[in-house]
Amino acid sequence: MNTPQEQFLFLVGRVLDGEATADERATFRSLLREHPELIDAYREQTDMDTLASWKFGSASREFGSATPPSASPRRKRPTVFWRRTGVRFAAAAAVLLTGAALWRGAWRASPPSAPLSPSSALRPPSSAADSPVTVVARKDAWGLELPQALPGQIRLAKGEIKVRLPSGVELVLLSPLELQVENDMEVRLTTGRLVAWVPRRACGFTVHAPGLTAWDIGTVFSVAAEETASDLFVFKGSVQVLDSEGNGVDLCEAGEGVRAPAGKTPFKVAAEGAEAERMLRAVRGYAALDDLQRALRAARQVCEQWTAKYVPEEASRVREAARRQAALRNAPRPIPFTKTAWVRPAAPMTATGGAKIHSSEQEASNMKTTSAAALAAVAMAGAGMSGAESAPILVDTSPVHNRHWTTAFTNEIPLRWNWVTNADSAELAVTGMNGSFMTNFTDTAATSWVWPAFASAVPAAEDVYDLTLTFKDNQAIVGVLTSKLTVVTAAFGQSKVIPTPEDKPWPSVKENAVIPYDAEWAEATADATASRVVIAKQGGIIQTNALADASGYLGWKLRRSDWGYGTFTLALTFPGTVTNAWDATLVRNADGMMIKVR
Amino acid sequence: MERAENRTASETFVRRLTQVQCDLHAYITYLVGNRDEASDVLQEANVVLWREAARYDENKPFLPWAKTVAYYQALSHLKKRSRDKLVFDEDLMLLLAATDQDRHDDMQERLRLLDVCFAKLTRQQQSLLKFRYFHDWPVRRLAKRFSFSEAAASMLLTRIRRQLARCIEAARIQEAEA
Repeated sequence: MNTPQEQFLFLVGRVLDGEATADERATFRSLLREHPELIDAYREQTDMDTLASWKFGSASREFGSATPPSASPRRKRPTVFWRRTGVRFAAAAAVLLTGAALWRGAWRASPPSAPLSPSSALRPPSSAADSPVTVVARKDAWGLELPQALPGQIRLAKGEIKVRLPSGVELVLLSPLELQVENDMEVRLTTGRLVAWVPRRACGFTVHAPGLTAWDIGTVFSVAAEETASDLFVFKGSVQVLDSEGNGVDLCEAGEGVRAPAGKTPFKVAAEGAEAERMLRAVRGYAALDDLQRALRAARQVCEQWTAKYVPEEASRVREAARRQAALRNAPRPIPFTKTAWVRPAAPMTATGGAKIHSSEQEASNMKTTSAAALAAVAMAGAGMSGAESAPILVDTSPVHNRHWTTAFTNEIPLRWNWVTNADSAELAVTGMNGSFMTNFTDTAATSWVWPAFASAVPAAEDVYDLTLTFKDNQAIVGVLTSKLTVVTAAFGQSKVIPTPEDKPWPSVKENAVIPYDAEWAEATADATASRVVIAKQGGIIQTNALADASGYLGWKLRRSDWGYGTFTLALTFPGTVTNAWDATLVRNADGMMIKVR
Repeated sequence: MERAENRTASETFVRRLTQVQCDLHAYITYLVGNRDEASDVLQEANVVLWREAARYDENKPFLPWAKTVAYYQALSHLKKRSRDKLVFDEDLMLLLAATDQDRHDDMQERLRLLDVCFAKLTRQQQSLLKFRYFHDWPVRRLAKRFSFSEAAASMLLTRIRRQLARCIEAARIQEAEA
């Protein structure tokens, strides 16, 4: 180790790793002074040291988890991931966008296709596995929805969970909760409580709650959004708080917070007096993360003590509302199989993005319970429909099996796969109701490809695609991967919105259509593992579609099919659960399809 | 109207500050010679930046202004720390800051390319990085785990960092040419 370069290489590691002795640091300083040309090499090392720490981050270590680093933490657009299990068909993933936003908590039937008999191996990957939001821990959690792409919503009906965002921010979420994750650095808390731990590399993480916005500077803090007020409280570090207009409220340090009463000006609160200090002592700093309930209790009490002392008229109002909220939280929630669609309590029956077609009361008045205590409400999107076009929306037909991950918001769908051993080429076949497509890959270094799902910026028609990637070794098949992708138009603002059912007859459809189905629509069928859709034409053929999953999309091919015109009955059942069925009656005329709701 | 403007200004500032966090962290690490200490300085710098937001001239680039603030925070940190724990003194820090002036900051881009280059490392190199940066193992523990001497482990990490830096540089040139 004689040359300065060799000395430098040894010492720079010792310095950056924090292992250098005083003598070694002195030598290192001398080296940089005497050989300024080494400064660039030093910068190279510090840059890479920083980059590696950002990439592989230490978000988990202070928070107590040890999951491996993600190779690609940010997903900017939906991706179809292929799974591999040797030569067998493996995972089925589905992408979908739909006019599903049209109906609200009811089965949206639309025109069907040829019988589908998916292989039992075709199962969508679990929503948690594909979510950009990682669940780190859960406690008595129930009714959890995770987004499959960002922006997306997290909902939690009961219990608490800890999640990690791609930025390294970790959030402990307490039910009942609705949280819109705009991106990995910004969330909006609609209702519920959360405690955030923000690593320094995620400085700038922003939480919006009704009446306030918190901009974090590397810290631990809580936010509670309730009917009467939003509260923020800092346990460690600093948070800059703004009101809903963007005006600064103040910079809050540990032991301080902000209360934003509904419709009123937010005010800063602080732990004051021996009692408040005593409560906070046990939960200051990272200790808040160890005993969440206690920390939130302390935060709340600090806010209330301050409010009672300095804003007494506000205090009584907030106390009363808090009592009502607590009673609501603890109320039992029996949900039978009824004529109205059941959705897990934390998942309101609205289409993501806020598009609502008609209220639940309107729906109820339009539906009658069948002998099997079933119902179906059918809304069709398609040609000939009146009403305004919606803005692009996230499509989420399932209250629990969150389908955001399957939603394409672009006509460029990245496909990714791992090559099967020995394969020297692969053939991709894409088959949909409106056509099919095939291509070959001969470069075994390629592990991804962007599939333009449709030619224009928005899809001309909805479709359900089956994707099959066949690996070959000298023309012999050595492996097959499959996936599923559904394209709907609502994500591109092509969903027709009908203001009220009374305005006009139900819409007509001429195109092939996509039928969403989900066992979670009724509590009695929530545990189903498979589904069945039976389509019967009066006086004609009956088609039974056995579906290997309990939630997904069925393509019904009408154009250029043998279905013809007439009246159709659709029934959706979930084998292995109750015999009740969701049903719908459709009439297809020569100029479209009329749908009657029973 | 005024409120709306305030809000927009705040959001813009937050966005700018968020975008340069990685660059600032790298810059401070370069100035103080230790990433953990740099994290503390960065946090302090962020608070100052926020408080001084009104002084920022929107007609000028944000990062140089933020780096100036970060430099003074690093200097202040240096004065607070006991001398025997410091890597650099004031003179050397000034020299480092001066050398940095013509630098093209692009940490976000390099962060993106790091994925590609990480994949090109050997399995052992990848493991070393993960243990060092994800699990935050000290070099001593790494050395024991991989049956190296501490010096060898430290040297190995230095070489991996250098290899990654060169790979990223090559990838940048390749992308630029493409």
